[in-house]
Amino acid sequence: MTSGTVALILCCGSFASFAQIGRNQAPLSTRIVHYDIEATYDTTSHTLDATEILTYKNLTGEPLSTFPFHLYLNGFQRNSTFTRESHRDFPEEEWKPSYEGAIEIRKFEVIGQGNLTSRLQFVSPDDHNPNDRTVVQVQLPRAIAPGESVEFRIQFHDKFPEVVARTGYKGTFTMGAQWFPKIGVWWHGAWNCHQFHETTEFFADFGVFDVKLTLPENQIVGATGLQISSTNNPNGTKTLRFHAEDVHDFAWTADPRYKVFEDTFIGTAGSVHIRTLMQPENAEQGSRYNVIARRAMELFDRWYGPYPYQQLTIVDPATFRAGGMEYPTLITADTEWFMPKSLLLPEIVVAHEFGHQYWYAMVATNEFEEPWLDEGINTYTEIKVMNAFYGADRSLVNGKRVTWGDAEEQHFSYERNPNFDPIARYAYQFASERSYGEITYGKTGCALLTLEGLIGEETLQRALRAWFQRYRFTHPNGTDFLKTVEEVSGRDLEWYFKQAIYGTEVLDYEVSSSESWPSKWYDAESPTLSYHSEVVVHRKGDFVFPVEIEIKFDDGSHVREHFDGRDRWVRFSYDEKAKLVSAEVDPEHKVWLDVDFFNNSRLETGSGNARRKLTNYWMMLWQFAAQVWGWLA
Amino acid sequence: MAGMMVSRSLVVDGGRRLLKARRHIMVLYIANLLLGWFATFGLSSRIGPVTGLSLNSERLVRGFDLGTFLELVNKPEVALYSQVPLGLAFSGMFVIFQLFLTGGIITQYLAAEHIDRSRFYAACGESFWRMVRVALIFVVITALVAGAFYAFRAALDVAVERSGHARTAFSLKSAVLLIEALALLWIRMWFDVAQTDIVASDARRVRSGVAYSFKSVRSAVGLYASYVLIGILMLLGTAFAVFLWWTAAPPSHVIISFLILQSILAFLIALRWWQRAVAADWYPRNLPVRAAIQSAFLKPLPPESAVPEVPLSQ
Repeated sequence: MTSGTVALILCCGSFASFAQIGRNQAPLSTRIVHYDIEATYDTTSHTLDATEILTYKNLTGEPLSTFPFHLYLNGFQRNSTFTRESHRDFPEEEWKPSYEGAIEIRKFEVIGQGNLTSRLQFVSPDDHNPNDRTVVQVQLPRAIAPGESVEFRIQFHDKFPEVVARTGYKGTFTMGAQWFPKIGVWWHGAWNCHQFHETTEFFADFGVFDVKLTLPENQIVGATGLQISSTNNPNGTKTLRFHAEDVHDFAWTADPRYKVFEDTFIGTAGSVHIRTLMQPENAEQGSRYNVIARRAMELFDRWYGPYPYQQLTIVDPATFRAGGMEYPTLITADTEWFMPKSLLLPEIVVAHEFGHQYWYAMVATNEFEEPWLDEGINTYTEIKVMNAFYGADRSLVNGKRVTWGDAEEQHFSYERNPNFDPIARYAYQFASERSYGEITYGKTGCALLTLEGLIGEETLQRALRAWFQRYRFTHPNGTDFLKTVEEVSGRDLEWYFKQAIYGTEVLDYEVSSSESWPSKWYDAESPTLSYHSEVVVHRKGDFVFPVEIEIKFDDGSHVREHFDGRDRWVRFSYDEKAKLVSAEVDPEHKVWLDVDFFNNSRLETGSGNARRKLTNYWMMLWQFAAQVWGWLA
Repeated sequence: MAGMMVSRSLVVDGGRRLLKARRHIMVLYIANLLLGWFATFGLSSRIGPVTGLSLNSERLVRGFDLGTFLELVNKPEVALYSQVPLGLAFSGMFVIFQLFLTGGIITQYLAAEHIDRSRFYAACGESFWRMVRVALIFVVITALVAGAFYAFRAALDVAVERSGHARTAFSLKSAVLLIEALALLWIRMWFDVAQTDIVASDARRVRSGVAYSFKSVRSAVGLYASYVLIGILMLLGTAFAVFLWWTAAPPSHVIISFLILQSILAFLIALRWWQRAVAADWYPRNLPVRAAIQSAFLKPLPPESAVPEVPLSQ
């Protein structure tokens, strides 16, 4: 019996012993990894020392001798790829010494193959940056056969940065994310282990996490999975033990100032404990988080399927830089103590991050290579949740005089920069962080809303349900998603996906002219009994998309026309007793990819109401400015 | 306000002086309105063609859809930011116009009777460059004080950011802002007195007038309390009118909205000039020596025939 086999048995034993803790008797995922980590966190120096025992089961079907690991915390160094890209996009951001973070592997052993620390080698597969240390790989002396398991014993030391992005400390608050050496994913016949980039997120295999975290007794802690024990130590620290199954990452947070709110959601898979950790300043807003979390859970449960975990932890971080982030069974939200109720940003963040429990945590797509599959689909479902509860026109700003819908906000984000990058692009290959955000979130959200208009809301909901049910706890790709939509809708949508997902064509239709004139215009003395009317619809962009046109007449009648968009323009002519009142492309407002909603319609009689209203405000603004400067005189 | 003695007569008598100059204040408001209107010409001509024939603009008329507004103003053919220079230019014109009228209005404040048009404009013309110089000194001093407060607030930001106590930090920063506002109000009061002094004493040496005023207002508690009181009235009145506009004006009724917003602006101008009127009222009571010169200044101008003619040929 080899030591590797012993490790496998021990590993299987630990799987079995914890099965009772999870809700599900049978594993939900193919558990490729088992992380057993014992860590001690020093809240003063913001450092962590840990030993990680990682058991990796080789299910690749071929022998493996090279293993890559992510060391994300090394991204927070001056010459890393992450920092270089961040500086490119935000040159005004200063670098502070406290932003320096690091993860150092102090000892790397492979059970049965000895201490291989000296064999560790940093690699930079994406940009060949020799200063980037976010991926390390090791070549084993002996390959791991298919079906065999390998056990890595890694001693590592973390130095958390002051939070720059997602992870680190701020005051007494700590967010422990991407904090341990995490193995890459064998995917499509090769290791997939990208460097840490400004715009990329994460990708990892499912498995089990057993984490023992030792830290001062006064710390209030939240983490992925369930806390199964807490032991006070003689030196004023405590050791918390967490267990999580069928997840692909483990994050934790600690702060002695947290106010804890508890809630419960009863779903089709049973009850879910919602544990909300609030900054004391924001404590009054804890109920806002919980209300939208329950609502989102209810809709996701009904629309796509059950949330199978027993707990959801919502973290209110001490800084927005750690906010709006997803980890398995734990999300970070974002708010301010003065956030008005009519501004639904906290609700949107929670609805979005909870959505990631489906589109990231369970349907675990590759966030490096196809970020639209998690962020884009999740933006769409976030819009659906927000619209369901607050109404489409006021799901972001729900004010008495001012309103703004979540979908409109995504449209505004996308229409400013619609053709720089296609949706289907590696996250780190976008022109900029801005383009990444506008396209991955905004354009994908609009593309799915447009798809909804094309195949129907209920059909797209069924497609998303099938996508979830079929691919949860796996690593599907974009083609899988598009095939699922085609299969469920029963339609060939390649023409649409080719333009919307893979292309950069801009969709823009306009009513370029519309007018009526007397049919006998040449006979001035003849009474006008009928009118000849013409409407010309023009496809301004290169995106070909079928649209409806509604034409209204002054006797109250209206007609619906269809334009397949293949030609550049189309003319509709009418001889009626009534004159034209208006012509409108996409009257039901289904085509969210259209970059300009203003040119979609044309009224025969113009109205100056909007102009007068806006110029009134503009005038008031400058009068006031003049008075303010007049105060200096 | 506790401990501060508000001189009722200062505020009330200042109000009387304000009423005496109401025509000129009205002119100032009309200038503010007209210049504001001119500042809209560019935007109006750009927005009109986009919104005039589009059904989408209804989203701006019935209520105010922020997304529609942002999409509109970001359209290249509208480009709201391109209209900012025009707005700045017309705002600047208002400032110059106000500087021009300041001498005349202060003269009216100081006079016992209504002054005629020619005297008013003569006072405007005579004081204009002095008012410009006073304004420049005021801007420099205000910038220094505001800069010092800014640096203090920045340091405070760093400290409170580390602490993570957002609400306490907000209270602290609000308190600092309040102190800053009160300090700037005091400087404004000082320069209002300086402007009054320069007009009243016909002083040509602006810097000495400013220095003299500084010495004079150092212990002018009653005057400062009056300024603070009128400042509070400004805030309360504006808050009430904005509340009225927010809650009562139907979003689609531009006229009602226009009237409420304009009444706020007229109110702000009136109260600002009330403060100056209070300074003008305080001035002769507290600075009698220099004020004596003012009575000479207000003697009738010599008839035009008394001005010696200089032959053009020379």
